[in-house]
Amino acid sequence: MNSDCMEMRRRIEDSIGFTLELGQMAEIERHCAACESCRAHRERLLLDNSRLSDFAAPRDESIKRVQERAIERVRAAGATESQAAAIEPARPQSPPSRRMLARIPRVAAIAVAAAAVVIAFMVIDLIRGAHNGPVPAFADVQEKMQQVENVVYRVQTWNLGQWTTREEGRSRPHLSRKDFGDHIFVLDIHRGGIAMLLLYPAEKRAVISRTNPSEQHEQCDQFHQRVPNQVDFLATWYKAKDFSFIRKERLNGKSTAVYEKYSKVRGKETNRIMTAWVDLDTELPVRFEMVGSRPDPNSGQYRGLRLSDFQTEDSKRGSWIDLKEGDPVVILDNFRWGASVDTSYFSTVPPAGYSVENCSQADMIMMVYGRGFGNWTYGLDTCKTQGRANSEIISGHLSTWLSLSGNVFPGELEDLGDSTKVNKLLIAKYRRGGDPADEFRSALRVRDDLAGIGAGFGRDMRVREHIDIHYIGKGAVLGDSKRIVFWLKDGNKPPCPDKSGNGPYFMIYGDLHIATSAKPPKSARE
Amino acid sequence: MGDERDRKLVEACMQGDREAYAELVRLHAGRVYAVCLAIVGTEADAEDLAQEALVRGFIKIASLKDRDRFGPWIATVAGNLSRNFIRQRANQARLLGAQANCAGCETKSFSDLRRALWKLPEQHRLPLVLYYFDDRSTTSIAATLGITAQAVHMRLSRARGELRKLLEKAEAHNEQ
Repeated sequence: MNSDCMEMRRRIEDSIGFTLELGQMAEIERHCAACESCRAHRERLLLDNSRLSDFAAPRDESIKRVQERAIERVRAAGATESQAAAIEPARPQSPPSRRMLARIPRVAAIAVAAAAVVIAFMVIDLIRGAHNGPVPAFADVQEKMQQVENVVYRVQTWNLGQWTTREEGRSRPHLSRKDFGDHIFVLDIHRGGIAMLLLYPAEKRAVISRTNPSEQHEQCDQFHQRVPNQVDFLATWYKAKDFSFIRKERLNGKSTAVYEKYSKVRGKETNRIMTAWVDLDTELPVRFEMVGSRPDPNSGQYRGLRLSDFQTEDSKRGSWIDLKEGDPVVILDNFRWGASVDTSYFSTVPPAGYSVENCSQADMIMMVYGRGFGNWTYGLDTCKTQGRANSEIISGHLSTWLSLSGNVFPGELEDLGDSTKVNKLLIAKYRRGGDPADEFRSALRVRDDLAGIGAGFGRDMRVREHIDIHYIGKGAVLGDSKRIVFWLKDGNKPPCPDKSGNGPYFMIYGDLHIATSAKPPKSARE
Repeated sequence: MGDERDRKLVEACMQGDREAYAELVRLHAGRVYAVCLAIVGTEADAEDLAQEALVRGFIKIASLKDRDRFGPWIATVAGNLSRNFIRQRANQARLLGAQANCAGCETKSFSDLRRALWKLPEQHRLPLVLYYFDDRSTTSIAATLGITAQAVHMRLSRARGELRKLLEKAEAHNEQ
């Protein structure tokens, strides 16, 4: 046994409690494969560990009994120390004569103190909601949540230094609705397909996307099996064993029980990540708060871009709303459990009098969730023949870059995802001495577009071997309709299934129009 | 290392919220029971003592200064109560006798393990029992016992080594 073995044996002991990371476990495996002594040591420890675990396991019942009896005694004892003293073991008493002498003033003092304590607790109870008796376990609350047919609630989200509000509704079939104020999105994930409706009430315009049932039959069925319905989706989202009751509280005139959920990281301090207020009369939640993962939500680095890049001495933070550490970033409230809603509320049929446009699922997702999301899903990392879609994505991002660069094409395509280059252009364009928060947000929206392609490129570069991508735009200027800046031919090389190579070549020109050709371009000018 | 959840529950409890204390009981009963069992060695006594320690915790909660350290504090209360109990019972030998009487109700393997466990010195037995009866986190054991995680590692290692020797001895005896 050498010094390596000493260290390894310490790790082997740690590994028994499964507190090691996979890399360290692999190191132990390697060492034990080569060292018979450590291998035997581990086997002995595992055997003892197994026996000790078996020995400890039946004690769960004992622990449960301890919990039940202790809680029963505490509840029965009353809330005050003087009442609780009644359950303390008997103490040696003073001689009778001394007790008699001391009794009169002590009785009076105790009576006054007890009365004060009782009044104090009555006041506290009154403030807190005066709901005596046990509070429900959170698992029971969750079960009640799952019993309702519909639920409607408000969602407030802190993002980029401001609060946005929307109303959400979920229904027992797979129906959900998000009302953003200026537009409404309804989603119906029925067996065999997905229907999405986007409504713009001010313009009386509807955009609809319906998938062909055969396209997504399997995917939707799997989803249905995993999540029985949209109400369950909400209820199970909050399902967690470690949601603990914390206190009772009066909230908007209701007696509520407050529960908190903590992240559990073994060996590290726990962090509160969610708080729930449950109405003690209905035993249903009236409010949820979610805490962001960042220690300081205000100082988020958005790929190197900061609010301070847009601040001046005079402007300070502008309209940027600061949060303190531990403040919620998402709040759900105004719950209407079992809400009675009109059939049109969750309908994916456009209302009468609306103009109707049909669109693809990809376009709908881009409209609702933004371009970044679309790029992740429908980016260049594909073997399918999506040459045109890919070219359009590249063309769109080149257009964004050109708007920042004074219409000069990037030197390399990767520049679109290079924050050291993009951020300089964003600051130069958007820092205008106005509200720094607004300028920062505007820059970030553009940044998100390019970040999408940047992330996409990370993946795209890996599939270059089976997708022909060629950027030849260095030095080109926007508007040159004869100059090719980019061309691609995707999905026709191993490991893609279609290796025929019969598909067309897609070319982007200097004025950003896209053209196809059966042959690859010989040069930038064709 | 403190615990924010415990601090909030302790504060609520100090304001008279019994349900908050009930939650503390749910969270810490396993640890308290493990401490009592490690010291007294019999389940029935450990149950009574753990229950008593948790009730005393409720009575004395106002004396808890570090509100985010309820776990180590209640473990100390349980430890003190259990040691007093042992002292009152005059000698540990009688307790071991009581354990031997119980040995008939479990397998030979468990009986050997129990005997071996209670032959370990308390400072080695306590972390080992806490490890298996509580949440198997050396950090948590360190906080409970007021020692460093390194010291917990060392004591666990020694306890396992001693236990192994005792078990081997028992196995050899059984084979004869």
